[in-house]
Amino acid sequence: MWKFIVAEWKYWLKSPMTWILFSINALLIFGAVYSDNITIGGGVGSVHKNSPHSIQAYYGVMSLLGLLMTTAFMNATANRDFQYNMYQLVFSAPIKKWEYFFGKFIGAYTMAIIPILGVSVGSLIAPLMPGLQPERYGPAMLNGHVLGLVGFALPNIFISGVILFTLAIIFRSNIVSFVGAMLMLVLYLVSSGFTRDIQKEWLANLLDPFGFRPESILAKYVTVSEKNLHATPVTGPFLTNRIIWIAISAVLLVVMYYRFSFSTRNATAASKKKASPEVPFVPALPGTAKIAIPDAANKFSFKLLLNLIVFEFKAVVRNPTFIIIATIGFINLVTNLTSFTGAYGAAQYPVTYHVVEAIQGGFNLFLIAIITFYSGVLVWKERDARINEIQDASAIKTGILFTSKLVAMMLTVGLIMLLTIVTGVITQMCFGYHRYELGVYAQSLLVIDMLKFSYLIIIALFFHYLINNRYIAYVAFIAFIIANSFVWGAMEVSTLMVQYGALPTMTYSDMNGFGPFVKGGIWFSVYWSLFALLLAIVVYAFYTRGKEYAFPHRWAEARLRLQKNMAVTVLALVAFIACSGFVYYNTFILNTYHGEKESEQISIEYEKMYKKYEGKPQPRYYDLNYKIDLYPQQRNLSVQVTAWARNISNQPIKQLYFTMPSWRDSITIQVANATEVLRDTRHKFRIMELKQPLEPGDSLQLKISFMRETKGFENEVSFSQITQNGSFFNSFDILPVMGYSSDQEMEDKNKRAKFKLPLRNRMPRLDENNMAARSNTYISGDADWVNVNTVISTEADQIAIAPGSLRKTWTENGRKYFNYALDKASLNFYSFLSARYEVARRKWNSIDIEVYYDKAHAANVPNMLNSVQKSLQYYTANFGPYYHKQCRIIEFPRYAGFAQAFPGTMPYSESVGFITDLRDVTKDDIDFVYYIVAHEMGHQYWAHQLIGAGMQGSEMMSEGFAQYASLMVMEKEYGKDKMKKFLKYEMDDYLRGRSNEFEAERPLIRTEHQQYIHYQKASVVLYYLKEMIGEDKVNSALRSLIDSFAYRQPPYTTSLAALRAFRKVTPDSLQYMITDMFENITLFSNRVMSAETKKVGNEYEITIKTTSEKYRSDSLGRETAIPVNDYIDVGVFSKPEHKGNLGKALVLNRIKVNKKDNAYTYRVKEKPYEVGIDPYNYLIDRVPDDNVKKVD
Amino acid sequence: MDLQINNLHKKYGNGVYALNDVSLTIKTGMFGLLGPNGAGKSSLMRTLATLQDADSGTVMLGDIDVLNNKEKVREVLGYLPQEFGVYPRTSATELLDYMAMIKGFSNKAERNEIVNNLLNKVNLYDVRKKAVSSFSGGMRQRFGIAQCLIGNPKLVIVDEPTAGLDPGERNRFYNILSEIGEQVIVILSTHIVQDVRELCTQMAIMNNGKVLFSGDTDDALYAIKGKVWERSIAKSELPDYQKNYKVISNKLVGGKPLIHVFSDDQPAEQFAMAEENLEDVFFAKINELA
Repeated sequence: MWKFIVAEWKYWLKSPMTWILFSINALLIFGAVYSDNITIGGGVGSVHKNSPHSIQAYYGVMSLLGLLMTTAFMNATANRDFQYNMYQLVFSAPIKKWEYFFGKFIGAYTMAIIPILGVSVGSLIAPLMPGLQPERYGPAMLNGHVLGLVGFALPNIFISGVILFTLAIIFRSNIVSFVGAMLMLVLYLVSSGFTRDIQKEWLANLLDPFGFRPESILAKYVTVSEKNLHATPVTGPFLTNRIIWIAISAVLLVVMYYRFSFSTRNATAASKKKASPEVPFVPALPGTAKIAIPDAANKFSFKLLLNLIVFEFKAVVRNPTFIIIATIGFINLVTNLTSFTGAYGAAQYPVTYHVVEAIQGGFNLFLIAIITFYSGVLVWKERDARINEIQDASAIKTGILFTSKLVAMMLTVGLIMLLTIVTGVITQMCFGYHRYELGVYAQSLLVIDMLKFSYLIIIALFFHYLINNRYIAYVAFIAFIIANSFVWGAMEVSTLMVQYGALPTMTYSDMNGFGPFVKGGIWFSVYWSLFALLLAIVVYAFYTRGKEYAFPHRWAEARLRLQKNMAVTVLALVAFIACSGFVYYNTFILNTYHGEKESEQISIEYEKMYKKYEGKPQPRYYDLNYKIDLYPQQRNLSVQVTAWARNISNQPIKQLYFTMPSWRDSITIQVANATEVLRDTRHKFRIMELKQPLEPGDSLQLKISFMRETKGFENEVSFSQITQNGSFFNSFDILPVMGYSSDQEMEDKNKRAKFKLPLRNRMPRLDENNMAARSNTYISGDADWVNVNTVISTEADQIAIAPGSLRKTWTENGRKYFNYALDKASLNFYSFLSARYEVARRKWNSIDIEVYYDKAHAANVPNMLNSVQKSLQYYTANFGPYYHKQCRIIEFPRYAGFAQAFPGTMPYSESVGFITDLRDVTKDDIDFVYYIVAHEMGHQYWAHQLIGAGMQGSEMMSEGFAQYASLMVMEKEYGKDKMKKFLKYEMDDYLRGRSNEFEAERPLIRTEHQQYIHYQKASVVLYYLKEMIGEDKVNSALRSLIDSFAYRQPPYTTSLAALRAFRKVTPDSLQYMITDMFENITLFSNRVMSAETKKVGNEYEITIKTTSEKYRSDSLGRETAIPVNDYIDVGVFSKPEHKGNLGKALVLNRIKVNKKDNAYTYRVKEKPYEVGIDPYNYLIDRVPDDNVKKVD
Repeated sequence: MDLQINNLHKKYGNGVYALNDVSLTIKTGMFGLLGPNGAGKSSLMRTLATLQDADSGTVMLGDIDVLNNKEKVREVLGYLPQEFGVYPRTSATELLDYMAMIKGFSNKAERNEIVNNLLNKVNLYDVRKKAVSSFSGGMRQRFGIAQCLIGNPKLVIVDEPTAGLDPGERNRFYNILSEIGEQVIVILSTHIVQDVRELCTQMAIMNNGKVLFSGDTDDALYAIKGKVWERSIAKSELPDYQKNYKVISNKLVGGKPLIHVFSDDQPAEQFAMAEENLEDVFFAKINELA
């Protein structure tokens, strides 16, 4: 055996391929570690770019990409003896089968490891380069390399190696190996479908042959400092996965060894072919047949073309390999279509655009594979069958031959698309959803995607015919697709006019169809279709016919063919040039856009030039009159604002500073007795000088005129706020900000360091004495509580909505006018909407509850009305009065996917809540709609009544308290069991969030733009607080905050006020909890070690052994153990009715736990099923699942 | 209609002449192109079949300029290349139907008639639904001829059609060929002398890209009539004979070399006059003895 291994080693060590692949890996990883422009997993924010965690991730990713490399080794080793017809010599030599089989495999396997070692080399060299930011790199550590190799590289190469080697040596077919590699990828993709649902993680753990899923599940809560010190150990599910897959591979290797045979190979290959019986020739009688004259020789005949297309098409779709690849694709697709899940695992209706997206996600990869492979097959079909000379010497037009192949390939893709549509419709049927939008399917898959794939087909044919070498053409095509998809981005060229076949993103919305995307979509399609046509003409010109392969010959032939088709060529060229001119004019001249670099530059300059004006006193808006004219079809907007602003500072104001809203064509600001002294259009900054300084307490009037017109089309639609059906914009979009706006500054700390900008706090530190920061809310810096009056006009069949009560509505010049006014002064942050709405109304205690929705989305409207009403009931009873006269939920297109609360109005994206499937909600799911409505309703108090200052912690009082409020409303409706499930997601998201922290994790009262803290952690902590001190106490604290601070003028309050309110209602014995949960980052590890039961008479005696540990964490996740001294629940439970819930509590004790190891003994009458410590997961626990254990 | 080839030159990239000043006149009937492997036969055939270009020279088929008006040639051409395969999983009918398509028959009914006729003609009608890839060598060549005949070509080129056929198959194949040869130009290239002798009235011999002989087959034989002598010798004597006589060929008969010698008179008395055959013409020409 040794000699075979050594022979492989010698072969591969001498082969340049080994070292080329090694260099590719080394260079890629070098790039990823050295610069931010290449990202391959790991190393963002505060995680070192060469941290053990990152290096392990690099090994993982490269072992997946390395599938291709492994294929190269395995195929070559398995096939070499056959390829060169050496096998007869080799197999007749006196060698043993096992020596040959295993020797070759071990040789190839060990050599296939060489390329991936480039990961270590690249990641070790990169940090030594000069000019790097030292804080982004850690010391070189061995563990990442070792665990990367042991966890990913070695097993993955073994697993894929076995599959590829055995398939190659048994079947000796590239196609079978290709299918094998595809299958592994499919398993990996399928497993990803199961990671979204916490309950199905175990399945994902097993299915993924590469081990990514179990590794990422194991590492999901790992903190930044841990990532910098450790890699994921190969233990638990990760180890299980690795062992299972290695075992499967080993079994496969042995099974295939027995199937492999030196001698039977040819016999079996030959016996497959059934020979036809020999039929001797008998001269026929002299022919009487009439002489047939071809009617379409060297002529274009549509009928003939059609016939040929059918012939070529059949050749592809009848091919067994095609059927295999397509079938695997469909299996993958079907698994993609088995569940439509939104946030919190809530089911969603399979609306057509979702199904289309699932199809695209599930099938595009396969289609690209099919196009890659079968374009080649079609091009080389005649030459493979050695029928090319006959064909080439036939009187058929080259154009017809070429067109038949091109169209056949397109038909193949079309056929698959049609089948996916059928699959999609069946899926919708199975879900009991009956709005089949065939038009949407057709437009998305048969038009838009079909075009994109056709462009790919043409470029594939282009490579094959021009290069005229199958393998180089395959490589060139794949390299081209990969390069085309990222090279332009890397070069900061964002125009779609250079990225081959790129069409602008087109998002379908149930409300608005393809709305704003249609025009650009069509023109870019025309542009690329014309380009593809030109390419096709070139391919046609170079279509290989005859045996002359030398370039001069082909060039001469091509010129001849082009000359013959001069008219068409020139016409296509002229059309293309004209079209590019038109697209250029629209995307570069009518519409301009900044690339990412350019935008960054602008924000850097803005900060450098105007930061000096930050904090200078400016007048503050307090009264705004809007006159808005909206033209949805034209996507135009005109706004006139008459605004009043007051100087509330104690010094006169001489200069007015304005930061302009970003999307506008023109904007004028008129202030009496003021002259403009600076207009900086690049940085959108203006300065006006007042002749008479504005004295403290005085007001001035501003007349602002804003215009936005949609002209032509953009490169990518950036402006979807005003659209045909579903316009939605807010006050920030149209009103200039008075003063310097720090929101424009660059935030990313690494980028700031790179551009030598000073360190920037995400928010000012929590400090009650920082009066400057407390002079503003965290929402805006130029207003306090404002009155708003709006006259808004729109198209006659639409309803326009502005803040406040509707005072008047009328029709004028065929347009609809609405006059709205706020009933209570509110934050200077509100929205305007217009669409063709259905309206559902309900009245509760003189408050109008309204839902404005698209008529296709009526399903959840009653639920929404209910949730609004229940929220109002709970909040008015527990927090205080509601000051608006209406609560409106208003639907907008899914160009944005959020719900947002403005005073009295709450715009919801059509993708949030409106398509949630609530038919089964009482069984297992969380009522996501009910939750999100209650949350936004919570904001009517938490944000719109009590708003924190512009400093750390304020978001806890908006988002955190809104979460708490919605939890209470949900608990009343659905009970405690549902809360456990909801909180499990919240805990999971919090722990994951801190694992991905970019800068520093803060305690809850100092959260700074950290959603995982002020949403998720706040939910968990406040619910825990409620469990410990009671709902009444928590609510009374919250009510006291509203009573003291709602609608207050500056200085604005801080989270410290909230902390004091909670402390006030918390008994002394539990004060530690406030310290732990609000002021510090505290984590627990509670675990049931054993639960033993024995029967004593009629009763059961149960002994529970537990461990409890408690940790403090710093901002990077460095944990230190602290003594436990906490009240923790210990419980015994009967068998639950529903799986996944806890059963009836037979014992539930709240015990002060003050040491690590504890034992408890209880006697119960009923048979115990499970026991738990902190069984409801009130405490933040890094391993929540081991808190409960089944009784032995 | 004659095929007139004048001063055709073709040089490959490596400097080797594939065609070196080839001039031929080919009339209706069977024309045999004889030469050893690598003589330039296939190059000539491919050039005539519009698959290769020539560096210089002209080829006229009637009034069609073959080198510059490939499309016109293809309309009257039937070509059976030396290397010829078939699509997998495709029946004789399907494949022949496809061939009829690419020869310009757009009408399905008309194609059906042509296909059935031709399959009958080459007696493959009974196996028309079988995959061509399962055919024996002879059946496959017959299928090749059938595709050649689609659209009644004026010029039929068959390149090495009998290679790899057993004697029985070869015979049957001749029968078909000779039938066609009555009305059109059939050019048959081969390195088997027997083929030409049995089928062709005209012939040419090529070697190293050059035409060594062209004319009537009978003329070729007449030219060497009475000038070929044979004798059985011992192996060890062969070098001597090769030095002293114009040895055309030697082959083993019963383990002893039988040499053919070219000479106007009887070279020695042990030599007997051999019956003239094309093989001797062939060897004489390529060894530049006559």
